[in-house]
Amino acid sequence: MKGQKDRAFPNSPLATEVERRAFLKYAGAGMGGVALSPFLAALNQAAAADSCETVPADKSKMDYTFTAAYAASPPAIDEVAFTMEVENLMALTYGGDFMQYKPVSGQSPGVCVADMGAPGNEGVIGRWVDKWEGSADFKTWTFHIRPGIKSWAGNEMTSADITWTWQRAFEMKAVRYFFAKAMFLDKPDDIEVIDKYTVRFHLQKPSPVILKLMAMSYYGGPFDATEAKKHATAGDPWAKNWLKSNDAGFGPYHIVKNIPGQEMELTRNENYQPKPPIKRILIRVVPDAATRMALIERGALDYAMRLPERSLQALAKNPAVQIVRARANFIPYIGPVATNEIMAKTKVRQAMAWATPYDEIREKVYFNQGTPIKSITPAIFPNYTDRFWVYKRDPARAKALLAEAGYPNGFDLKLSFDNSIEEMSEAAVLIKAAYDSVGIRTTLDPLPAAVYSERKVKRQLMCQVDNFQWPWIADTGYTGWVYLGNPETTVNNSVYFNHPEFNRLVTDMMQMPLGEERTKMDLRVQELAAEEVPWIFLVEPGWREALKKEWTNFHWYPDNNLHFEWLYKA
Amino acid sequence: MIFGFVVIAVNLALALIGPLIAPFPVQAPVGASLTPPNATHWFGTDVSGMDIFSRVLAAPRVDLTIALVSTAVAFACGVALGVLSGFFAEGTAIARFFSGAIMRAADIFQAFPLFVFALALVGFSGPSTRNVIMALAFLNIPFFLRLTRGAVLQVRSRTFVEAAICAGNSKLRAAFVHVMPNSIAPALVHFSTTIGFSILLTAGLSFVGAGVPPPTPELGLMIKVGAQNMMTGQWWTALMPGLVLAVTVLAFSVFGDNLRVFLDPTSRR
Repeated sequence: MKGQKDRAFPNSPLATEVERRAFLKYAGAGMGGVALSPFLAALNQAAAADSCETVPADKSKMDYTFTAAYAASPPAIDEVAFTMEVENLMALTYGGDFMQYKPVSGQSPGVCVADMGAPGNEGVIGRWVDKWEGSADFKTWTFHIRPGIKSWAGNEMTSADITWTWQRAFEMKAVRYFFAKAMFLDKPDDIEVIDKYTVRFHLQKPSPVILKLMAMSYYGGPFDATEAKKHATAGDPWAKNWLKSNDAGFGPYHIVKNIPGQEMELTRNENYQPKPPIKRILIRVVPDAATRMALIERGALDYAMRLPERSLQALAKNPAVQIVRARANFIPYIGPVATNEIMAKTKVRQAMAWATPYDEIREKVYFNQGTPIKSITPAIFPNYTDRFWVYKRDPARAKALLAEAGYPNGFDLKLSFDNSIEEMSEAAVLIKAAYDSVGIRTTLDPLPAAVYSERKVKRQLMCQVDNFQWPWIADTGYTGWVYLGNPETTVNNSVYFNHPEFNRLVTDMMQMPLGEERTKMDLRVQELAAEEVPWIFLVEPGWREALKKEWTNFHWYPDNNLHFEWLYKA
Repeated sequence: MIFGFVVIAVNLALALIGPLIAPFPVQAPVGASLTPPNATHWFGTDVSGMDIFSRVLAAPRVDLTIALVSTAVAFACGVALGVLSGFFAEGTAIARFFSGAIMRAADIFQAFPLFVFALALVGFSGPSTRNVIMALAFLNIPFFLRLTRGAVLQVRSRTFVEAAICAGNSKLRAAFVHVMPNSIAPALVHFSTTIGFSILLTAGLSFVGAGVPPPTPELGLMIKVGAQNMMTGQWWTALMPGLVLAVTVLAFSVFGDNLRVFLDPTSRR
């Protein structure tokens, strides 16, 4: 299907992308290939219609130093923990997988955003590959690595790095392994080396979202296998110990100092293109949000991570600080856990949805920023519709539904949340007051982050209010499958939602070509999520970051990290 | 003395009727968030829009209950153990062994920093009013124990104790009926200051998220929520409950000091 639009994937933009990039590759090869990479980069920039894909040439010559404050110390730089800090570091050091979402101009000046709303795979472009082909049945995918991609250690990315990376993923059984399963890769042998720069993926089933999965896999490489192997031992053949606190990636930055709980220093990968204007990144670990806010307020930081909206509102008054915003993919929600007898009743969940104070949460927790969530799929994703989500605060309707469910006098509810997330604590207080007023006698249960996370995963809570969901793949089928699919096989389904039709739909969508039938299924999934209310959606606060005023060229991707490699001073 | 007495009396009264006389509901938003003090909301509102004045009025019920109950439990256990430990410090080998064992156990518990130990206890058992009471009571037992034991060691050798035993009282009866009433004054004085200290410790635990769950009207919890707003200029959210906490603790301390003078004739001279 190279060079032509596939019938099974009628919206696929593969032909256009492949042709343009094929031209660039062959032109580059004819003129000296790797040696002419600066010329190629310039040509690529010229070919790109959107300036979001480039860094201005004069800015690429800069050697800025950037100071940031993390909220916590990353537990490891390998795929063993889910925290914003870990994801930020992985994005900086490994740079992601073969593909990436195409950055386009956002609503705010100086902000580029991933093109998540594009239908099918139109929003996805190559990152490490300049050409890719899918077979007619979409079970075989061939990727051509762009020659000349080098890690900080100077080793060139080849097929051998890719196979080592995936072999390691199957060994680690962590996040990249999860992506392997989502792509229907069963074993390391499913990845075949064709030549030095070409690898072929043999999927067990067709995958309509493989390119999007590749666009957002920040975990687990691709590794510079040559460098990583230097640190492997007989007892640790995959260099797990070394890679916990060091990196062997092809991304824009490289860790040169790492004092857990205190500070980190990263330096630019001089081989990375386009060359990042920031040469040196100093990261301090400042757990207290108020302290992070104070530091940026007085100019001691360029960037303070994870500030609550209240702090951002105050910082917005400071002329030396800017708040960067973009619509994002966060799904804060109330999650009644169906392992509990009361929470398992649909009418109870619907009553809770009618009792929830959506407007008050948006006003008092998010200061009227963000947008109400009205579907399981974020509003920036394809096929989003708000027509099924009918719920708004209506105590009378909530009480009527409670009576229908067999609880005319209400019931006792324990609402748990991670007490380290201020916005969830604040939302929980408002939810309690609203639920109390309709007879749902609510006790708040603030838990330390680790305890909350453990009990959530084990489905031991009665009900949770949570904001740790942001689907990376712009697809309703994937979002439904990863968060609310069959609870016996989906560990992320922490509310134990188990609906046969929903399970069948999201499972089928993961292996069904794009097209009209799949769109119908997409809408049905959104309808079921509204009817059955496994999650009570709250407010999508948007991507929000506080930086010094002088920085510009922000890029939002669905990982919701600040991608330092694009930044320069205006 | 009058200052301490008045503040304690007001606190006790509020513990009984505080939530009833509060102008607004104490656990529900009643207005816009972070409203500065005004004619309607005398102490302003917090980030959730709850009336801070109403919550301050209701707070003594929680704070004082925790402090009084935990201190009473600690007092009862500490005094009893102190009497036993002191009275039987010199006796049979078994009696000496148990007396020593009680003191070594107290040594072990007091070897840990108090707040960290309280944090660990509440962290282990889970944040709730009952668990905070249990943790504070457990922590305060050694103090009452040592004070009582010291007093018992002085009293037990007096002739009226020997006389009581000669008159046919068992040693246990002599310890609790004749020695304890004459050794309890230091523990009684400490009772008052411990209440103030317990209020402070409760607030501290709530401040670090290990105390009572939100949105319970409790001074430490209110300061914790409000402290986040101090940085952004909403000073009233933490200052008002902070002032009330400071005055309350000071009152118990002053009252305890005066009580010590009152119970000690030599000091009164």
